[in-house]
Amino acid sequence: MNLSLFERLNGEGLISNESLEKIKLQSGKKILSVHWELKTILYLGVLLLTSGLGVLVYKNIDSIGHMAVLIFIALVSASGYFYCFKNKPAFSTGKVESPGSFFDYILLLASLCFIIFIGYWQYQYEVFGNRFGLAGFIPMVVFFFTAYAFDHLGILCLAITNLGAWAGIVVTPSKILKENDFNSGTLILTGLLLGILLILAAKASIQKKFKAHFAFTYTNFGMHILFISCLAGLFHFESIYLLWFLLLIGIAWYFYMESVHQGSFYLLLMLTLYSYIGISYTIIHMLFWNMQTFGFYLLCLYFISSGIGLVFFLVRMNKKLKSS
Amino acid sequence: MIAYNINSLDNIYIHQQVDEALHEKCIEKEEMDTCKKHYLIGFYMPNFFIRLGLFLLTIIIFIFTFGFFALLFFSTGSTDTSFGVMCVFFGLIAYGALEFMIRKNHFRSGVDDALLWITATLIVAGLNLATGISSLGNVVLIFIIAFYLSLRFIDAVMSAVSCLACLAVFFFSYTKMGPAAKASVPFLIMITSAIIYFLTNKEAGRDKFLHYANCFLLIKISALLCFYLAANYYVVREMSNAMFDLQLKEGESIPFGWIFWILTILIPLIYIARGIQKRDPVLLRVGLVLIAAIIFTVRYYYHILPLEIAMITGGIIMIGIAYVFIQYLKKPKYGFSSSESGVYDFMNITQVESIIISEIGGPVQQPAIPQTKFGGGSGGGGGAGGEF
Repeated sequence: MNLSLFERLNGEGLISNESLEKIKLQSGKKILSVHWELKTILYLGVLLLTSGLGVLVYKNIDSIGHMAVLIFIALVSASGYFYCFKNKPAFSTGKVESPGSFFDYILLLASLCFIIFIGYWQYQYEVFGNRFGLAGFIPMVVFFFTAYAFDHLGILCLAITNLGAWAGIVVTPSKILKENDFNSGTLILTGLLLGILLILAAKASIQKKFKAHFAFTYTNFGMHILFISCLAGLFHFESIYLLWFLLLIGIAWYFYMESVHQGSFYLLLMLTLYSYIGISYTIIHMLFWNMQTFGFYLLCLYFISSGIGLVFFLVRMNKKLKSS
Repeated sequence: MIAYNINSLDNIYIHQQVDEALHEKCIEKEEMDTCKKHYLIGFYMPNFFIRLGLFLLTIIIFIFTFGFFALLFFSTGSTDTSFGVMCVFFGLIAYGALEFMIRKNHFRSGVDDALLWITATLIVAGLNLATGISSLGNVVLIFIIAFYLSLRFIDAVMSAVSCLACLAVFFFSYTKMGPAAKASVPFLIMITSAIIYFLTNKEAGRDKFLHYANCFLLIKISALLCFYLAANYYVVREMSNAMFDLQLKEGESIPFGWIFWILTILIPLIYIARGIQKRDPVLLRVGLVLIAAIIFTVRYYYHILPLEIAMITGGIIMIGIAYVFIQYLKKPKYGFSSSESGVYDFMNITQVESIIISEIGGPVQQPAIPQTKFGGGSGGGGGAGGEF
C-alpha cells in the first residue's frame, strides 16, 4: 500500500486517523503470500503422481509386479480417503469451508487413484464383464458421493465429466470440440438430454437449498453442452434446420433470463456468442449462399452491421447487469 | 505521452489502493465508499466478460470492413505491394479509431484493446508485404511500433513485445559480425537482458512511472526469462545447430557446453534464492517455473529414470514439499505466509480452479478395448466414443 497516498487521503478528511495508523502498521509488515505457488505445486504433484501411476500400471501389465502396483495404488487411494474422512468437516447442506488446500488435493489424489484402480481391475480381470456401463458408472457414483460429502467443486467437475463419458460424450472443456463426433445424430440428442439434465440439477440444487453453490458448475457444463449440441444439430440436420434454430433461440432466451436474474456477465457473453454463431449460420444459409460474389459483399455488410449491433447490445447489457 | 486521461488513471490507482486497504481490514467500508465517491473514474470500463465480447466483435467488424474494401478495390491481378499499402492504410485507420475511442473515454473496454492490436499487426504485416525487409529490419520495425504503442497506450503485453524485439535487434545485428560473434551471442543476450531487468527494476518504483507498473512487470518477467533461455543448454545447442549450421550429431555437445550446463541449473536456483531473500514474488515465481525447464533440459539429454518412475517420485516430492511449507507457514514466518491474500474479483477463483482440475482427471476409459493405454489423467477422455 502506498503510504503517502493514504496520508493525502487522511489530510483531505476521507480517512480517519485510526485507519491511517492501521495502514502504517500493516505496510510496515510486508508479508508475501505463497498460497497460490504452493497450491500449484500441489496440483502438479498430484497430476504427475497419478499420471505416472497410470503409465506404470500398463507398462507392467504382464509382469509379476502388477499386483504390487495395484496394491500400491489401492493403498494410496485408501489412505487418502482415510486421511480425508478423519479430517472431514461436519456435513451440511450449505457451503462447508474446506480445512485447507492440502486436504482438497489429497482428496483429489485419492479419487484419481480410485479411478485408475477401477480401470485397471476391469482391464485385467473384467470384473464388470463386458458391460462398460458399470465400469464407468461406479467411478461416477463415487465421485458424486465424494463431491457432496466433502463439498469439493473440482471432484464435482470430475463427476460431471464421468457422467458425460457414461452417456457417451466427452465433456472435458478442452476436449469437447476435438474428441466428439458431432456428425452423429445420436450424440447430438444425447448431448441435449445431458445438458437439460444438468440444468435441472442446477435448478434443483438452488430450490431444495441442497449445496446451492454447486449450481453454477452444473449450469456451466449444462450450458456449453446444450449450446454445442444445438449448434451441431443446426449444422447436421440440414432438412429441419429451422426447427433447431428455434430451439437455439429458446435455449438462448432461457439463459438470457438466467443471466439477468443472477447478474452473470459470463452467462451473457456465452449465450451471445453461441447464438451469434447460430443466427449468422442460419442467415447465411438462407440468403447469401447461392449469390456468388454479390453474396460475399452482403456477407461483409451483414457482419459489419450485426457486429456493431451486438456491441451496442453488450454495452447496454453491461449497464443493465451492473445496476441490478 | 499517455493517451488516456491521467486524472482518471490516478483515480483508478486510488481505487485499487483503497480496495486493498479494505481487504487488509485497515479501513472501514464507509471510508472506502467516500474515497471512491470523491475520486470518480471517468472511464468506460465494462466487466471482464463484456470486454472479451467487445474485443471479439471489434475484430470481427474490422476484418469484414477490411474484406469488403479489399473486394471492392482488388482483382486477381493486384500485387502484394498494393495489398501491403492497403494494410498499412487500414492500420492507420485503426489507429485513428483507437485515438477516437480513447477520447470517448474507453479504457480497457475491449474496443481499445482490439484496435491497438489491429493497428500493430496491420502496419507490420503491410510493410512486410509492401517492401521485402530483412529480418533485422523487421525486428527494428516491430520494436519501434511496439515501443511507441506501449508508451502511449500503457499496454503491458505490447511492452513485453517491445522488450523481446529489442533483444532480437541485438541478436540479429550481432550475429552478422562473424563466427566469433555467433559463438558468443548467448552472452550478449544475457548481458542485455540483465541490463533491461536492472533498469526496469530500478525505475519501476518511481512515481512518474506509476501507470506503467504492469508494463514494467511484464518487461521484468520477459527479461528474466530471456536471460535464462539465452543460457539454457537446450536452447543454445538446438538454436546454434539450426541457425548457424553446426551439424552436430546426436550426443555431440557444443563448444564449452559445460558452461551452459552450469548456467542451466544455477540460474533458476539463484532466482528462487534472491526471490526468497528479497521477498520478490516475480523472481520467486519465474524461478519456480524455470525448475520445470531444468528438468526438461536434463531429461532431454540424459534419461536418468524411466518416465513413469520419474513422474511418480517427482509427484511425491512435490506433494511433500507443498505439505511441509503449508504446515510451516500457517503462521507467517520470515515475511512469508501460506494463507490466501489479495483481492480476487475475477470470476470466482474456486470455479476456475475446479475446471482446471476437471482437465487432469479425464473420465475412466473403456478398459475392455485391448492395448488401450489409459494415462490416469493426462491422457484421459479419449475413449468415450459411441460404444456405450
